[in-house]
Amino acid sequence: MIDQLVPVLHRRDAVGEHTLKLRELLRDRGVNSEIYVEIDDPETSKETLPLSLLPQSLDIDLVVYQMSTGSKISALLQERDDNLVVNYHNVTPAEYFAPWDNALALHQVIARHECGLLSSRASLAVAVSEFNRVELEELGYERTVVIPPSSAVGRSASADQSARLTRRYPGGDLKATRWLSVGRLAPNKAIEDTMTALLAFRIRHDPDATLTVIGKPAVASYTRALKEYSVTLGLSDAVSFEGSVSASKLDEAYRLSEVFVSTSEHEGFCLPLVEAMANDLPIVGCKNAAIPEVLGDAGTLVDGNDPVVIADAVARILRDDALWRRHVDAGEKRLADLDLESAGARLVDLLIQTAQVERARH
Amino acid sequence: MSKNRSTPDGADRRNDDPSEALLKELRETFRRLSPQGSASWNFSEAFTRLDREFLKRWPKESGHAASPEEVRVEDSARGLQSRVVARVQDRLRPWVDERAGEISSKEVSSALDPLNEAVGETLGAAVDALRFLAARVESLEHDVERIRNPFPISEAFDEPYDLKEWTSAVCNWLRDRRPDGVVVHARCGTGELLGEIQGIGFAVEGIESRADLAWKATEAGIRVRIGTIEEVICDERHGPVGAVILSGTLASRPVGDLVALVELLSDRLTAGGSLVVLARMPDSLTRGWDAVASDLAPGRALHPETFEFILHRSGFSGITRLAGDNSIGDHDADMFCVAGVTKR
Repeated sequence: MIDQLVPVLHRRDAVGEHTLKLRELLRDRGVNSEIYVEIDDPETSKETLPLSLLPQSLDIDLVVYQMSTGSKISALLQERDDNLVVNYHNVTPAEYFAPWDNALALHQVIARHECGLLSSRASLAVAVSEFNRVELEELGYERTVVIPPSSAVGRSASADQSARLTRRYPGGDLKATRWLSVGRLAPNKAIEDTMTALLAFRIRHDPDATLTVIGKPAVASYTRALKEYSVTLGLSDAVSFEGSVSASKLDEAYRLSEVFVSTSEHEGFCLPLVEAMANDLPIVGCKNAAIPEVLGDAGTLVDGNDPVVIADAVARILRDDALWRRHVDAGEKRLADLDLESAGARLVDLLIQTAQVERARH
Repeated sequence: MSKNRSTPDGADRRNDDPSEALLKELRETFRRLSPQGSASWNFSEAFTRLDREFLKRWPKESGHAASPEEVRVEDSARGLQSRVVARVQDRLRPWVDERAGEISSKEVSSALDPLNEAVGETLGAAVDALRFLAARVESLEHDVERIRNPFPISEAFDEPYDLKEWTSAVCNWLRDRRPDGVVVHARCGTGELLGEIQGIGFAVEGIESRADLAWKATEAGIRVRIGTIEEVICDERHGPVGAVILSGTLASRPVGDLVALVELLSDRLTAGGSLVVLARMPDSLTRGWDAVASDLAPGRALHPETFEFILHRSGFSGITRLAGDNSIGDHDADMFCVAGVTKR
């Protein structure tokens, strides 16, 4: 039996989808597996069990903790004697939240502290990127490995294949260019920099360009500020905040957009990059955290966050047929290199192997 | 103008690109939208650092739960203070009682552990208290802001005025008085008026709340700050301000704020400095605005006589109503211009 613990299981969330996918793969391999949560989400109630029902340690071969935030789960695991694997999805540094929400900032401090405390308890830590793996080493974990999130498999494969076949070079004439940003509305995403870059793009290249921002608001004050900032920039009619959307709406947004822009400053993996690649969408991103690692050469990476440089990079890709084609082809190759199709299977193999080793040791 | 910066493909940026100063302005503008108001003055950052230091020093033995839900803004300050004191006393009293009669050098050494623990508890309580205070202040600031300005976007309806008609009058006023210091235009739009003033030899600076207009002004060679006149005029790093031109921002301000602003300018302008007010006549102010914009405008339009009164009461002298190029008569015009100089 390999059970997973997660503070709360959300749909349309990278950690939530990863957890569900992993359970499905484990069960496909004949392994009994349940998901235990600290907080119940009504949307996923049927998929989960409360933490209070977690069986005795002796009855579980392996516990996998999906770690991305602070939770009572850490304290519980400290008290128990489980064979533990920490699947680390990154804890955003508190500094990003501090100006916006003190309680959230504190929560991040505690989360990172908890992650460090579990280092002596875990027999293995799985990071979704090399960037995250280095963080785990700094937190004291001795045995670490990198495996991309298994939910990326489904998300990239679900890309509308007809869109892939029909997407054509939009032509060098920049007219009402559609930018896309996908990700939680959290301060580390620096969505304000994408908006400033859009302003530069409208002034320099295409006065009718627009930006669609898709993502669940994570910090109320930050979301409010983004909306006020769009007014300050004179972009209230050009930037639309769509919030969290269904999978079909998300697919549609990828299909209808002409460029994906990420100015995020801190990412543990950045699943939307994979989705953009799978949708043949050219990408311009800032050279921060795990973005260069995931993107490889499948997009334009920009040093810093100069809006003019970002705007000009977008214009260059969209104006140059050959460059556009190179970006799209590189995305396809990068997806193959990431080998996301086998990521879930690799993780399941590793978990089963770890469970067997630990069982033999005891 | 800006120095050249390379794009990812190695191409240099254009010479008319916005300056680094404007990009810095944009970043600071966004930071000001955070509850703490500025990246350089930040309650929460201090707490985060304190938390980190605290957790580093007392990771386990402190017992400091540090759970965000522990502190709720509903808690009364008196109750919290009592709890802080009680925690400290509870922690220290048994130790003091126990040790008082039997202390020795050996005991001092072994007593350091519980002392550390007590210090940890005390720090934890202090952090809790400060965090409570911060949460309360943030909550109150938010409430006040909502009362003062329930729809912060309303200013966006107020487009910068077309000031071509007033260019000669304002330039002549400044040329005659030669104010000592930079000429600041609040709500400068794309900077046409300041361009003319710069052309007759004055150092100028624009203030514009809309970044797209500010961007265009910088492309025309005007230095622009994005924000409010108060933020600029109260910035200790700012050099002497010889003249302020107010236009377009007035309708979005309650009268009390407007009076306070004129008093502030009277105090901060250099001796003999000028204040020039370019405003719309009350009956023409909302002409052309849609119904929503008219209803949401928080300010009340004032007549030129009222501005003259406010300037006079705030210590300005030589108050004059300037004529625009196409002025026919005071009461037929859509706009008016009132100017005065500081007495000092």
